[in-house]
Amino acid sequence: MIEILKLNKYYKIGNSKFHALKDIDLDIKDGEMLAVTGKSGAGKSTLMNIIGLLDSYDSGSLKIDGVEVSGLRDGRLAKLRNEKIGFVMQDFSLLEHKSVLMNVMLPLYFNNRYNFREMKKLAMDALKKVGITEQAQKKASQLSGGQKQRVAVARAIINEPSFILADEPTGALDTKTSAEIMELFKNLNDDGKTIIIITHDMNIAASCQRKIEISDGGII
Amino acid sequence: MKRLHLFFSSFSQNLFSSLMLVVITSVALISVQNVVGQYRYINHSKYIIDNEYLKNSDYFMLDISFLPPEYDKQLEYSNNIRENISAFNGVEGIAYTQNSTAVYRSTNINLSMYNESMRKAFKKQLSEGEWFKSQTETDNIPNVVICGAIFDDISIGSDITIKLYGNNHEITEQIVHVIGKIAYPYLSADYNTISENVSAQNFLVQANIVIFDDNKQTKDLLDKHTILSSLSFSYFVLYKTDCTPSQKEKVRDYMDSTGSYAEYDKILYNTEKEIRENIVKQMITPIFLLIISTVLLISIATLNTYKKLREHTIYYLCGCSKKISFGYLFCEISIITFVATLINIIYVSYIINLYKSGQMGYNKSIVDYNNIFLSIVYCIFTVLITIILPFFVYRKNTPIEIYRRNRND
Repeated sequence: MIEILKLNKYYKIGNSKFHALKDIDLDIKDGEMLAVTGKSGAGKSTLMNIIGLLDSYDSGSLKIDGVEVSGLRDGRLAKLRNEKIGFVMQDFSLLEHKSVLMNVMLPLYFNNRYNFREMKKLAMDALKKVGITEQAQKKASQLSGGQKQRVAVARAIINEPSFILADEPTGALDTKTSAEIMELFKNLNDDGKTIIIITHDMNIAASCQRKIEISDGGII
Repeated sequence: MKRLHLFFSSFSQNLFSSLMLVVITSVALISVQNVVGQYRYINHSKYIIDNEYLKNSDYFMLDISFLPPEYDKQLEYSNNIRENISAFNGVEGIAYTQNSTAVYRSTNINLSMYNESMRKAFKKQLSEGEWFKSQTETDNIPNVVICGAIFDDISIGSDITIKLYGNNHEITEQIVHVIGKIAYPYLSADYNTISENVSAQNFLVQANIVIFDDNKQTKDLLDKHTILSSLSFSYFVLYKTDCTPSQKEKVRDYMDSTGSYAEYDKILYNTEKEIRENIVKQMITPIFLLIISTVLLISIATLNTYKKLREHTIYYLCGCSKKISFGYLFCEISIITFVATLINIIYVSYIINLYKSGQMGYNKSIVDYNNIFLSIVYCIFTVLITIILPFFVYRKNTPIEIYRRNRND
């Protein structure tokens, strides 16, 4: 579960401050599929960065599975990111020159729970879930956009995270492939995964259970 | 283990450039070591030669074209000349040696007999014990001064056994009593150079040597069991402190008529010139190579950091902390310097072992563990430099910055 209370974020621009997020209050329950929408510059990506523990905030509170993240050191934040969050990015964020298998295994390199053989097995299981096991040995650069996003989804779920954070996951895909990826997210949600999708595409937002809109740094 | 796998998986992208750089840096380091070794040799030689007794001396070199063909006559001729020189007014003594060979612990060593003038001329060599001041030889156990890596474990006051080879190849074991040790780097006097441009390093040679006192008792003993060469074609002629210029002139005229000589000041001048012209010139190429490889290393380190920023942003998304991420970058950059330094240390250690085991002759160069220290200093210096630049690049390009930039693109 994610609990956000009176969260504020400022950006320093020269001598002035830009108030990017204003008193955000938001609870995301386990198993939800939430769409965060808003125009460009509204603050949705800033919110995603903060929920994803990629960026800090200036005031308020953010709890992930009951853990207040404010004041945690980089190492602890990295551990939480590794264990609790799976990322799916618009640009896929894959290591293009590495194999699909290695890309999917990547989060497991940063925790001590699995040995190499277990890592491979888990990666193959994740690839099976997204339906591209036969691409495992190919380099990421050899895949189509849709396939790359499936690899990104497989990487996001390999560690059994609490929630998946998807930033414009269909932004770089055609309509048909976008629909396939959304179907994949729905299936994962049906399996009990919490999914947060940042999007400006209303059709994508409509396919989620719940939708919030951000405008001028606040939830409307 | 999996961290290593990730490291090498990432490092393999730069394998060729890294290997090239390792080769260049290793070659540069080894070249620098060789020149530094030569510099240390000549500098140490200068230190030994630079003493109060030799300051008032000339180095005499007999003209060997005047020598008769028979050994006995050669001996007689050279001894006559030496005696004639020492008979001149103003001459305090002749610093010459008589030599032979022996075996110690299955390794060939040299034997040498030093007279009093010789001990004065090379007195700076001694590091432990004393020369043959207190003659307490009894029961045919002569006192000796030892020199060389082979005697590293021998302490003053010990008795050691050397094997002497006689005229008919018969072997005699001789016990000797150690009263002194020549200082590291074990340079012993050598008079084999006949040249107008003789310099300090020509008078010293790195070898395993047992030095005896030049007295009748030891001479009789050695004569009985080994082939002692008494031929001395070159030596230092030491002048008395009150020797007048005209007395010196007479000696020099005689030396000119039987051979040639080099004045002490000329020897020092030649030594300085050798350092200035040869060593410094030789140093230029390796230093240039080392600077080039260091600059290349810094450039590659910086480029590599920029190149890997996106990759490390992905690591960050997957739960890699900034510290660990920078650790990976650090290792990728510094492994080149570490490997090059390691190769250098292995090279130096190998050379030292070859010297110590007697499998390799010293070649006017001092290579020891101080050279390893030099490599480590270079390694630390280079690693620090190659880390500072990527550190600032990484600080200015945090994962979130890179991610924001990618999204705006």
